[in-house]
Amino acid sequence: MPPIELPVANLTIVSCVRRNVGVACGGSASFHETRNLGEAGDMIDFTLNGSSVSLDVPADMPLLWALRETAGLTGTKFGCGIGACGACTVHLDGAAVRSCSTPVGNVAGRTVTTIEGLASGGALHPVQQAWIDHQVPQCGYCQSGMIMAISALLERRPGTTDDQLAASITNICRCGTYERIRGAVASLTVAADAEEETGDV
Amino acid sequence: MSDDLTTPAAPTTPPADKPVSQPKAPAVKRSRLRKWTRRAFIGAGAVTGGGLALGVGGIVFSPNRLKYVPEGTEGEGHLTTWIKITPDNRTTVLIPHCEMGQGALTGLGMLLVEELDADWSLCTVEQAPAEDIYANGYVIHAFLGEVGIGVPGFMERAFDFGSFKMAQFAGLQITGGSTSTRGTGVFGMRLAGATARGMLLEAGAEQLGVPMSELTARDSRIIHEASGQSATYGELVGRASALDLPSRPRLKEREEYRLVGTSQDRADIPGKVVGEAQYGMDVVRPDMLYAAIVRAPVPGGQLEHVDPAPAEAMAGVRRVVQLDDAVAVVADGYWQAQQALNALGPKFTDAGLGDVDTAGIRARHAAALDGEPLGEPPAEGRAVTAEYCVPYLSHATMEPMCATARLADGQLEVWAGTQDPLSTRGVAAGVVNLDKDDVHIYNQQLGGGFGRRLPGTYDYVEQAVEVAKVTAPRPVKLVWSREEDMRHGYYRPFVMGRFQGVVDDQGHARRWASRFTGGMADALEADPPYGIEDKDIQAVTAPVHLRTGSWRSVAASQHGFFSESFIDEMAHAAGSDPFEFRRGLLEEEPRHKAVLERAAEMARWGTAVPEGRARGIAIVESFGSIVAHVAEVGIENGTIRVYRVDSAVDCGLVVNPQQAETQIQGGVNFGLSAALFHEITVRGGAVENRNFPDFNMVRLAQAPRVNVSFVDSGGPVGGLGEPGVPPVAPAVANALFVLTGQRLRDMPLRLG
Repeated sequence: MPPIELPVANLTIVSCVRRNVGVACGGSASFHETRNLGEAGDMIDFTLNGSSVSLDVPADMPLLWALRETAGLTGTKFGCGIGACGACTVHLDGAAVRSCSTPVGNVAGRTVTTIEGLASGGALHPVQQAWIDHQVPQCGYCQSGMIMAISALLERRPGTTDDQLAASITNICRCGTYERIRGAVASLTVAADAEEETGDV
Repeated sequence: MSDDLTTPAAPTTPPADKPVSQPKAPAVKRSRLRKWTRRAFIGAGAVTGGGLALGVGGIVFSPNRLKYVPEGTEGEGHLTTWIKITPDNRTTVLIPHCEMGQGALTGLGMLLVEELDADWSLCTVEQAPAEDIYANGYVIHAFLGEVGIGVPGFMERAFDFGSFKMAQFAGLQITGGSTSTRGTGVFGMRLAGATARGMLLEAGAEQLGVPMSELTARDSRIIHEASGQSATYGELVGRASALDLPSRPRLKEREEYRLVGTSQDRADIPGKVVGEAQYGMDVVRPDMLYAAIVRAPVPGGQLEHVDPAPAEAMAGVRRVVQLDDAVAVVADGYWQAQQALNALGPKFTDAGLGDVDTAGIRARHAAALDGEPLGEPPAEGRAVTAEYCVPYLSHATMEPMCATARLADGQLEVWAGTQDPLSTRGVAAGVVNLDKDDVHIYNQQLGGGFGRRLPGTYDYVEQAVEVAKVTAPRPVKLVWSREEDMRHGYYRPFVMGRFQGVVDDQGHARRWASRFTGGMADALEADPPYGIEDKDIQAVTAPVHLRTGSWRSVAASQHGFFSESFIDEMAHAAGSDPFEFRRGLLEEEPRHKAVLERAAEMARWGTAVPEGRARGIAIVESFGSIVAHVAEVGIENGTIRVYRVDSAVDCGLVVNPQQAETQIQGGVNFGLSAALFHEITVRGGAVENRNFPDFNMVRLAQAPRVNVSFVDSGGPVGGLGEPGVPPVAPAVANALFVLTGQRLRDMPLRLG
């Protein structure tokens, strides 16, 4: 599928583009260069926020710590370490995964997108923009994971209903911003519905 | 840095002709402290490069050091305390509170900018660094204004903690107790804004050559409407900074507000949606090492023995550090450190508490209450008795405790998220026996606070500094695992309460008696607002095993559940509608009554509910705000389900409506997690809970719709971070009684 650049204004979830072709993403400035710190064969190679990276880390290290401490991308958060809270959610080949429970060796040759790489071409991802418009975050610590989980869901299912959202998203927000999350998601799915009806997509 | 900055730094007892503003004590119900013993003092002057700096210090204990310049900002001519206006017409406001997600920075900035009549879009709000000059005495007075005398429970922790003395009491830079807007905002920020506005008006009169009385201030501009002349604040600051302070800065009346009361976006949110916001967990320093730690699982336990060899043999491990009550592993990465720690088999003592378990704790609380019986109820009327109990609760902030420390060249640096950077500094200094001036705290954004990062709870900072002594001069970041965080909290106390109520033949409440475990500091929260003549409320001391602390809404969380469940029991005993029964007892409390009525109206109380559902109502005053919730509850597959909560709030003044709303909504979910799921349990003297699966949280699937409405009473400013929590559990429990006939008196609520 060729990349299709859609205007942000119509609120189509654009990350489907990124998933398949790995276009350069705007937010990953802190890690562009390939690191070469160890023996060949020890390195884990993958695409991170649109750039090829090669990390010298043990294959069984959770992706979370490779991202935070080796790649220097601290937007992905540590919350529980056992995949229970979702604060560490990233996209692996476009699907939401909990990076604290994903060995970095499993992502070799694959495409990882973190919160830093979600924005594209200088424009925030529609979910990020909706999070600002609806003033969703409070402490904000869980919101990287929340945004990654919900952006993956909306990409798969643009017309997600409230019930589907509740059934699909199990991330914890201790501040309790769920009402705002629902409102922000509803604003996106309404836009998606409208597009379907008018045949814009 | 200009020396001019210290221009008329008024002493704590200023001369009569010098600027003194003595804010009125808030007319809070039950207040017995009407006269304020302090003097606010104001200093103003020029900053290098031009501009006006103005600060307001607080009360008698406040440091009179307006010449102070934060480290590294000398070249900028930084403001001393709270406000700076520069020739480019921009205003910077420094707020002495931490942003935990409650919108404090934005809300406080709005209060100042309102009085300043500045253009909000030209204003920047920043958090003040951890320096004495920002110590916020107003926090203390926000509390004393409410409880009148003595030390409120929330502040007792400051006394309990060894390094604090009475004289340092006001030297805390606390964010907690929903005080930010109440204390700092009302008494500090508004005064600063009004004072600066007065000076700018005077400067405008000089510059435009017209009488000050003909001038108005608006949108960062002084305007002379008659002639059409105007000058921006930026154009006037040079002149203003040379002026004496106005003797009586005029504070606006509420009806004059233009900014306050409008919804404004929070400045911290854009960084939080792109992963740029930096929390304590995200600190990275050159040459930094990482540490994982495990402490004696039983409070008071000591490290008996550990063989470091298994860890030291692992890749990336630098050192095994043995502390008195813990063992830490230092490594090149956190994961390596935690893996190596897991490979160790440390032996800890149990401090003689190895036989303590939850059942035993409960029995001890019951025994304590047995020693203070409620007495025989009067012969006439119908007596209702009940026993309630709530468990220990963890704060379980999303960001586990963590801190980064570096000890080098006789200086200690600490990067951490805390609710009080100043007392954190004292704690850190104590670990290494350094003067506080040689300790530097760089406060980070907090991944949740809720009371876990208040004074007296900085064990994670102490540990990080201990480990930094070993890694010196390299910095080390200590990160607690979730399991460590769950096991070593400062828990909401375990509390048991026994109640006796009497309802007469006409259905009127005649007596309310209670005994509860805890301290009389909680008596305010234990005293419901209802007009019942015969009240007998007493606290009973019970042994405390685990460390306890302030948990979002503090004593109101348990006493709100007790009182609002029990009044419901009395209503049913009287054969009355629970809403009408409460309303009948609130004739002397018009604010409560109005809030209760608003919530009932929102929920259409008394109308039919969908089949299989029921409504419950509860009203609790805490932190100066009154909140009533009506919960609509059902049962799905044997599980309690809360569909919606209608919430009426009287917090006096609503500064930023969209933030006020979201604080209440968040409070509902926080309270609901406790009502449905939370229970810290003890076995073998240690906390059993390890991670979220056994300390579960409300997620989207359980989160109710929450409708919030504010009742404008014109009352004093109340808090918002906490007051949404206490009425949740009783509203749900009261609905469940209607639905099932089961009166659930223990939290979490479990259907029989």
